[in-house]
Amino acid sequence: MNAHNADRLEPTMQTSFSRSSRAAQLAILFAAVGMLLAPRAARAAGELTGRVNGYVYDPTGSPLSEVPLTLTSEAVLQQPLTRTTGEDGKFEFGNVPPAEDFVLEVNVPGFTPIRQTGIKVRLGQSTPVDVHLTVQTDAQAVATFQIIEKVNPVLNPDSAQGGAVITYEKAQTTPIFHQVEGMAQQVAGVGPGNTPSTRGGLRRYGKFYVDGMDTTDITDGSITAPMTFDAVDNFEIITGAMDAQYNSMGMITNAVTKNGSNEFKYDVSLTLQPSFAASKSQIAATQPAYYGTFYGNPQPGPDTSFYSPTISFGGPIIKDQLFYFVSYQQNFSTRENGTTVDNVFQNRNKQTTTSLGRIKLTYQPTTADRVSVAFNFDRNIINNNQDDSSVSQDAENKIHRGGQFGILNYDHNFNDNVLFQLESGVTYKKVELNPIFDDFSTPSHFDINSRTTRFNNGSLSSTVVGNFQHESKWRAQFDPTISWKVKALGTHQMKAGFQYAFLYDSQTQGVSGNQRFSDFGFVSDPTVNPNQPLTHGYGCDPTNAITFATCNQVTTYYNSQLQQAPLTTRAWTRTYGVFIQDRWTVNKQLTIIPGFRIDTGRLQGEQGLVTTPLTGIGPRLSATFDLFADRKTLIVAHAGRANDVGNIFIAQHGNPALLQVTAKWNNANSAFPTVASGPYAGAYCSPDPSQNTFGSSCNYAGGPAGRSFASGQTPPHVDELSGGIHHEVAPETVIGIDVTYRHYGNMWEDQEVNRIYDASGQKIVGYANPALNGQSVLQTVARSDAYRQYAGMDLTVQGTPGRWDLLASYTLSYNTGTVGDYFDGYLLNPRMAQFYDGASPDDRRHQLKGSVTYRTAFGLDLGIRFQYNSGTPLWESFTNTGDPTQRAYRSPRGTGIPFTNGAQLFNDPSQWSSINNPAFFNIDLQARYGLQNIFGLRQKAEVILLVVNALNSVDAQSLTDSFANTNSRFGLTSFRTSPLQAELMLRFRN
Amino acid sequence: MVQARAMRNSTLLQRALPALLAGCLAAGCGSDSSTTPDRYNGAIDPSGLDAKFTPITSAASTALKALCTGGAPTPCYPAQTGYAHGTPVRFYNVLNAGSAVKTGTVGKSGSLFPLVSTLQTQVFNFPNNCSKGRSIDPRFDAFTFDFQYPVFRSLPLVNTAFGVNVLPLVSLFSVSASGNTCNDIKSADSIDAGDFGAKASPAPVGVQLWAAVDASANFASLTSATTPSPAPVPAQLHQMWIHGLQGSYLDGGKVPVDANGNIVAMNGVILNGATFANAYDNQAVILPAVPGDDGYSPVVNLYQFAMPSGRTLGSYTDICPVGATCAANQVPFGSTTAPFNTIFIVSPQ
Repeated sequence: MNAHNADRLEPTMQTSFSRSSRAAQLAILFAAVGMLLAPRAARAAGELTGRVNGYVYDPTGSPLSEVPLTLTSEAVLQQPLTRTTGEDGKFEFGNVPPAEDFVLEVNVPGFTPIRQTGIKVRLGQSTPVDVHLTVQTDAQAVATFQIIEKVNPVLNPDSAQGGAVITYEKAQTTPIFHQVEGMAQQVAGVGPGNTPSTRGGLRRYGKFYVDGMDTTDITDGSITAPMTFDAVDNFEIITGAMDAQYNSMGMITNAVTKNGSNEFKYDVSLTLQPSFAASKSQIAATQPAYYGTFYGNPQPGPDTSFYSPTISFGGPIIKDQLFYFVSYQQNFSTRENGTTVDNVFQNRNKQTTTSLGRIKLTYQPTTADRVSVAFNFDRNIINNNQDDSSVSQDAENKIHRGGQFGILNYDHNFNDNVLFQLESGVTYKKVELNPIFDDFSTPSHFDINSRTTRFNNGSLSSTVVGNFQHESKWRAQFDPTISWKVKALGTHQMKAGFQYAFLYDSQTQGVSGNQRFSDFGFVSDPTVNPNQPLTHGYGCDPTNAITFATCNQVTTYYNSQLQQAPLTTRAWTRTYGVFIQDRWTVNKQLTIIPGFRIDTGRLQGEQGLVTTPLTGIGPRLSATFDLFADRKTLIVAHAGRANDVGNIFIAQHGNPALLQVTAKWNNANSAFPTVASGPYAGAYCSPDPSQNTFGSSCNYAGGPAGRSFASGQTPPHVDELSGGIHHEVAPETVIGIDVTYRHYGNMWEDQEVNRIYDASGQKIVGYANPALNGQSVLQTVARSDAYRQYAGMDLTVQGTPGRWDLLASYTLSYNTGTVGDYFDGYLLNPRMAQFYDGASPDDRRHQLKGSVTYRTAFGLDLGIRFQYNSGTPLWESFTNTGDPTQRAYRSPRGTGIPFTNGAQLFNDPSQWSSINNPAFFNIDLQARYGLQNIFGLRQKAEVILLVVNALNSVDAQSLTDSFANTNSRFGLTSFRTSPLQAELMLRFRN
Repeated sequence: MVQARAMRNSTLLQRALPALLAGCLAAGCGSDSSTTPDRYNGAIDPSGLDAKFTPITSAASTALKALCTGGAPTPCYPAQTGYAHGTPVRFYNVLNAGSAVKTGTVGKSGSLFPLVSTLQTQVFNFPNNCSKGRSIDPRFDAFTFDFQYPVFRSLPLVNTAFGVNVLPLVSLFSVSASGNTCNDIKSADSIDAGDFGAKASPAPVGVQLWAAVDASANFASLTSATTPSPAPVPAQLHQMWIHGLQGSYLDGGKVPVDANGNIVAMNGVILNGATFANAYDNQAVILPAVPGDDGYSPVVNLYQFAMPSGRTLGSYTDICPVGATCAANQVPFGSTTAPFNTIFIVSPQ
C-alpha cells in the first residue's frame, strides 16, 4: 500500500479465501448471470466540468432552431447560463461544473414553458436532455409547466472512455477508508490497493490529477501529496479508451475539488478508532514464525488505534465573484504488530502521523472568466516502517516526508463556441528514508539462514541498494488548451492543446558504515539481556575469530569518486505534448472521436542526456453509436496508443549508482580478500576492477561505468483495442459488457552485457570484455520482447435506481508478459530470460467488487462493499549463487514445483505448475444516520459507523515463493489480512 | 500452502502451435513424429543429485573440506593424486571422495559388478547425427549447435529409487535421426516418440563412466595440485540433456565389458601405513594403468597393502605383478589383501 497512508491498512489485495471460497464462487456466478451487460459511461478526459446537451423538438417531432434555453444551479452557478438551439435543434452547455441541482428552462411563445429539474452533471460527461415542446393551452398560459424528472448521465454518447465517476455523496456513503487515492480501486479493471495496476499495466503507470494538475509522484507513481477527503467534490476514474488529450498508460484518477460558493459552508468531523474497536492480529499457532505472524509471542495482542479530526469550510469573499475553501486533517495512527526476532517477543509499534491541509480560491470576475488558485500540503511521519520479523528493532527504518503543490487554473470563454483553459502548477515532495535510530555508521548484517537483518537497516528495497535515501522531487506543469465548435457534416467539438512538464529529482543514497554483511547465521552472546531487543550477539567480524564461521561476504559501497561515502545524483526531464481531438457528432446516433497526439521527452542526468530524445505518437479513434436512437443502448469502441516518454525514474536510473564491491570470505585464510597497499589499502577488494588481484572473490556492480543507455530506443507504449455495449435497464441504471486488449511494449530493462554464465546461469565463467573482468556492465534498453499483455472482459452495473446506489463489476482477465516492473531482471541473465514469459504478478484472473448503498426514508443510509480477487501468481525462485542480488528460476513466471512427498522435483519439468497466492474476499460495512431530524436541526449531524473487514479474516494474503534447500519458507505466509477495524465518525455540517 | 494447478501456459501454446503446424506440414499430417525442437527448460537442479554426486560444501566434514583447500573453494569437486607406472596421476574420485561402493549384491551371482543390462541410466548418444546450426554466442547461448549432446533418460537423483545402483556408469544407445539440427532433441521422450525420425539401437552399444555433477561448483585441477582458485573447468566436463534440461557430467571414459556382459574393473592398490588411509587420500592409491593403456578401466578395485615400517605415502608409486621382481617403489600385488573398496575415477583421457 502507499506508505503515505500506512496509517490506514485496508484488507485489500490478495488474501486467503479458504473459508469463503464457495460463497465467493457463488457470488461470481450470480454476478455473471445478473450482470449481462455493464455500464461504462464515457467521459471526456482531463476536464474539470461536464456538459448538458440535447435537442429541442416541436410537437410534430421536428427539431426546432433558435430556441433559447437557460441553465441554472444554486450550488455551482452564480449566474444563469444561456444557449440557443442550432439549425438541427441541438443545444449544448459546455464547461458546466459538476452538481446535481441543475434546472433547464425553455420558454418559447406559443408553446408550454418548460422547467426541467433534477439534472445531474457528472465530471467529464455529457448529460443528455431532450426537450419536447407542446402547444400551450389556455390553462397553462399563466404558469410554467414544471417537469420533475431526474436526469442522471449514466450513458454518455460523447466518449468511449472507460471508468466511472464517483460523486461526493457516493464516496461518503461507501464503506471505505477516506483516502482520495483509494477511490480508483472500486472501478472495473483497476486492481486493489492505493497504487493499483490497471488493465495489465504497471502500478507506476497510474496517475492522480487534482483539478487537472498531475500530482502523481514523479518517480514511483503514487500520489505526491494526499489531501483531505472532504475537499474533493468528484472523482473521475478513467481506466482506458482515453481521448487524445491524455497520455497515460494506466489509470487516471481526476479529483475535482470544492470551490466554495455564496453560502458559507462548514464540515467538522472526528474519526475515532480506539484500540478496543480493532481486533487483535492473533495468528493461529499452526502458522510457523515468519513475517507478520504472532507465533508463540507471550505479549498481549497488539493494538491498533486511529484518530482523525477534520475541518473544512468555504464561502464567499466577494459575493458572486470570489470564493474560498479550506480544509485540514490530522491523523494519529498506531499499529502494533507482534514480532519474533532472536526469541525476543515484541509488539512493535508502527506509528504514523499525517497532516493534510488545503486552501483554494476561485475568482469569477465575469461569466466568461474563472481563475482558481490552490495550495495543498501534507506531512507524513512513519516510524518502524518495516514492522515485521524480518528485521530486528535496531534494523527498522522510518519515513519522514512531506509535499506541497500549488495549482493555477484559468478558463476564458471567448464566446459560446470558443473556450480557453490553462491548467498549471508546481508540485514538490521531499522524502527521507532513514534507519530508525539515525545510525549511519553501523553496518547491517543479513543472516542468510534466518533471513533476518540485524544491527542496522538493510537495503530499502530490491531496487534501492542504500539503507538511507533523501530525495527531493519537483514537477512544473503548463497545459493550455483551446476548444471550439465547427459545423460540417454534423457538429464538431474540437479541442487542441500543448502540454509541458519539467520534472526534477535529486537523490542522495547511502549505506550505514558504507558496508553491508551477508552472513551464515550469527553468534549469540549469552551475556546479553534476552529481553533487550537491541542486542543480538555478533555478526561476521573479520577481526573476531569466534564469528568466522558466520562470514560469507561483505559489500562495500563507493560513490563516483571511489570514496566510501553516499552518492548524490540529480535527474531532470522535459516532456512536450501536443494534441488535437474532435468530438464529431455525425448524427443523433453516431459520434466519432478521432484524435492525435505527439509526445517527446528528454531525459537528462549527471552525465548529460540519458537517452536520445524519446518520441511517441498517439493516434486515437473512438466511436459511440446509440443503437436504437433512444439514449438507452450505446455501443462504444476504441483504438489508440499512449507512450511513456518522459519518465524521470528512468532518467534517475541512468545516473551512476553506488558502486558495490562484494568480497567473498576465504575459508582458507579466514579473511576477506584485502588490498595490501596503495590508495585502497585495507579495503576488501579494490574498488577499481582493473586493480583486482583476487579474481572472482571480488565482484562489482553499479558504479559510474556500470550502466549505459542504448541509443535510439522506442519508448514504452501501450496499444489498446476495446469495445462494449451499455444498456439502461432501469431509470438511471446501466449494465454493460466491455472487452479490452492491451499490449505494453518496449518496457525498460537493464541488459547485462559483460558476464558470461554457465548453463545453469548461476556461475560466471567469463567476461565479454576482459578489461572489465569481474564487473557487471548494464545497458538500459527498451526492447520489444520486454512486454505485457492484457485481455479482459468487464461486466458492470452502475446507477441509482430508487433508493439504491450501485457500482459493481466482475472482471475476467488474462495478464501475461516478460516484465513484472521496469528493471525487474528480465535481461540480467540470459540463462534466466526464457523463464520470464508467463503470468504477470498482477494477473488476477477474477475480480468481483461492488459498493452498494441503500438510503432509507428515515435518515439511515446503509452501505456494503465487497471484493473478491483470485490469487495473484507466484514464481518459485532461488538464490542465485553466481550473483546473490539476482534470483534464479527453474520454471516460467507464475509457476513452480509443488511439494511431492516432502521433496520438490526440480529436475522434472512435467511437474511445473501454476502457483498462486490465496484468493481474497472481504466485506466492509457502513451505517450513517442523520441526527438532525431527532434534534430538529437545520444542519446535518451525522453518526457514521464503518467496519472494515467485517468477517475479521486474518487469512494469508501473500505467500513466500522463494525456495531454499535448508530452512525453506516456500509456501508459507508472508503477509496477512489486517483484522477487523471499526471506527466511529461524528460529523456536523451545514 | 501455495495453490498449485496444472500449468496452462498460453504463451507456450501460442509459440508451439505454429511450430506444430509447420512440423505437421513438413513431416506429413497424421505422422506421429514431430520436427519441433524440444523446449529448452534451463539447467538441472544439481542439488537434486544423489549425495554421492554432489560437491563438497562448506557444511561437509573438516577432512572433506580440506580436500578443497589450495585449489578450489567450496563447493568443490576435489582431485586427488595417485600413482601409476611410477609417476603421479591426478584424477577425480567421482563418488564424493571416499564413499564406499557396495555393488556385490547386483549383477551376476558372485560378481562384484553389475551386468550392463542392469545399469539404470540409459543414454542416447549421437553426437554427429545432426545438422550443424549457427555458431554459439557464449553470452546468450547456453548450448552449442554443432554437435548433439547425449540425452539421458534418467539421473541418479536423491529421490530416485536406484538403491545400490547409484553408480556413475551409463549404458549407451546409438540413435539415427534426420532433419534435426544439433541439440534439437533434448529429451528421451522425443526419441521414444520418433521425433525427427529418431530411432535408438535395440541394445546398448557400450558402457561409459559419465558422472553427473554440479557444474556450478569449483573443480580442482587435474594438471596441478596448486592451481589458483577457481580452477578452470576441466576438459572432462561435458554437457548433456534430460527432459529438456541441460546438465553436466564428467567423462571417465569407456568401461570395458567382458563376454558375459559384466563390467570389468582394474585392480589397484590402496596403501595403509601407521594410520589407515582413505580412498580419497593423496598418494594412497596406486593404479595399474592410465587411460590409453591396455586393461585400463575407470572402475578400480582397491586392494589393501600394509606398508612396512619406515615407508610412507609416496614411497610406492607403482604395482609389481604377482611373481615379478619388485623394485623399491613397487607394491608387490601378491602381498595385498582382499579388495577394500571400489573407486570410479576420471583422469585425463
